Amino acid sequence: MRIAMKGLLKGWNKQHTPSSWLAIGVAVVGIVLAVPPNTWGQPTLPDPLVGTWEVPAASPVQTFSGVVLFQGWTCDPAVMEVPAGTVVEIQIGVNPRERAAVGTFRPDTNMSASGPCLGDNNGWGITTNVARFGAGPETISLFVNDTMVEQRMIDIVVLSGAAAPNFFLTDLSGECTIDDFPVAGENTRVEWSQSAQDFAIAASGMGVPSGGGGTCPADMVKVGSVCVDTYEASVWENPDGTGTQYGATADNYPCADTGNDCKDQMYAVSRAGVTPSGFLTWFQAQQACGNVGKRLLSNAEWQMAAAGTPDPGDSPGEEDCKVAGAVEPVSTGSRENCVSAWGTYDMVGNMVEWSADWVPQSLACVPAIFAGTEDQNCLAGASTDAGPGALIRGGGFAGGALAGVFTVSGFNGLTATVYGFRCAR
Amino acid sequence: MKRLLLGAMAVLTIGLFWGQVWAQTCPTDMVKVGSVCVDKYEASVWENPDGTGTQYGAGTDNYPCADTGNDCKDKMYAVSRARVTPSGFLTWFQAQQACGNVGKRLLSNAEWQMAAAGTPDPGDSPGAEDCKVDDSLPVSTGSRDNCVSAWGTYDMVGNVWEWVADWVPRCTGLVPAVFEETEDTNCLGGASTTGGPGALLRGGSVFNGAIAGVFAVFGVNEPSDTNFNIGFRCAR
Repeated sequence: MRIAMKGLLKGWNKQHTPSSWLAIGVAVVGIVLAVPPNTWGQPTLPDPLVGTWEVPAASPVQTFSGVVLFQGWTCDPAVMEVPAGTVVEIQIGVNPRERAAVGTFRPDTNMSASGPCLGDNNGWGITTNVARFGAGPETISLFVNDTMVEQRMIDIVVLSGAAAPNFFLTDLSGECTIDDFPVAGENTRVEWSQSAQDFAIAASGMGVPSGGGGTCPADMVKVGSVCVDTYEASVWENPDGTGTQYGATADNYPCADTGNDCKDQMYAVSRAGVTPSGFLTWFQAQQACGNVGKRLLSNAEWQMAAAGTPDPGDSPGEEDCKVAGAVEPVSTGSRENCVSAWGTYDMVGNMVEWSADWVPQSLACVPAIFAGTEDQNCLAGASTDAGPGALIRGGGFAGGALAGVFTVSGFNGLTATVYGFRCAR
Repeated sequence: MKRLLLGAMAVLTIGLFWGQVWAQTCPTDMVKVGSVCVDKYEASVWENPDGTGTQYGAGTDNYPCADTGNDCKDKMYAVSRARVTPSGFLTWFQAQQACGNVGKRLLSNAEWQMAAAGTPDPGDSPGAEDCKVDDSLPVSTGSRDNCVSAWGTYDMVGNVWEWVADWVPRCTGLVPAVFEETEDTNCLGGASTTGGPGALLRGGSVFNGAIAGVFAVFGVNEPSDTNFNIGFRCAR
């Protein structure tokens, strides 16, 4: 006991007077006789340090995989917080001990939150990839200031491909939706996370049907099962929409009309309040989407996203879709009424938008799909002289009554440089 | 110190979120192209999902299921593997099922175009490492070092034509190349009123010379057709 005491208390000498030594001795006896609730378990940490080893739990034996955070907290109520120089280590099996970070933010341990500590930097933790240790049960030992204070058991699960030394797996992907989790009627999607070396929660839907879960970034909206850019694309030198904007007023793209040399050269961004980019071919538009992990919308996806956009008719108001007036586009998202039921802006008018779909180049316009709309419908006939065409949608900034959510044309070749686009994924 | 730790935690949390959204990775036999994983290599079709057992369509039409694809479920498996003969001799329906049996699908025409971008056009007289367009039989997948796209897919141009998912009214005649200087064949013109539909073929094949290329598109073949130089690849 005396030897253990010396070890446990090594490093504390400067902070304790002889009278407190006596108090410590008494307190240790007290703890051994009756283990208080807020302790490490058995054997307990010496008073005045208190704390809890939170991960792993003492029982039942917990299963771990991937990158794991083992953690707990500790403090010395007499000196407010965890004493400087406290060394916390864990050891898995007989592998070398590894030192935990000490002093992390744990306001829940403060007295203001009914904790025992005066300070709030009482946390400690260590992140480690347990695949390193191989599959099966292992002991995990907690050392404080070079003395083992407790040993617990954990069970490690390792992916079949994760044999040492290749315990950090790359180039994997996989996802799965768990229905009725965490509660009935809701579901949760998990995806392989390389950084976690484990499956991580990617999205949790509120009653979203299986397969349709998931959320979209702030600059996109969920349309059915797809994330669609909220705004018409602006194309930039950098993926974050900085540097030179391309195609705002001229064809100044850094790569060829073929798209062949566009990889990582320019990036489509969904942003409000900028001039949508035009002056680019279907091939360039496609690569600009691809470079940000997206793609052009199919014709059907475009239709779904556009639904509900109010038709501005021939004489739009100032907040209606831009289909008349100056022969140039307005800033993305600047027309408040030009929003679809799904939340996408400027589907009608402003820039005519490329879709992904190719067809034999059209030869004629036929009556509007819905007679009342006057929306132009030029998807008819099939050229034997030119083509293919890619479907363009929505009409442009001078489209007048011909622009609308049913406006479609297969007239144009893939190399035209007068249209805009948006991306989806 | 506390602020530092909080900052680090915030960065880690955001990093994990974006990691899951954007850095979704593809298996080693596929590459990420936009939002899709695309097979690096033209498909070889095998008796087992791991590419063991009999290979189908390498030199002969020995598929274990019908041209309709109706009985192909769990009978044969498309594999993306280097240094094997790409499988041919199969219909669009069989190709589709071979992808489906490994949890994949045919690429759409647009996806194919994105993945093919940057593949050097071999012209009419390719070198030994250029895309295979100069007659005879298909070469092994991934065996031509220069025949790789900007996205990392091999043999998009030449070797075997590749079925893509899209159907169109059958082409009735060639139209000029999308980019004239490429000479890439372009049969997505007209609309047959007597046959079809056509399922689009992309890229050209072993004997197409200058008309093979990343813009080569062919809407003549019906999805029930087979030939030694018509293959495919998968995506998901």
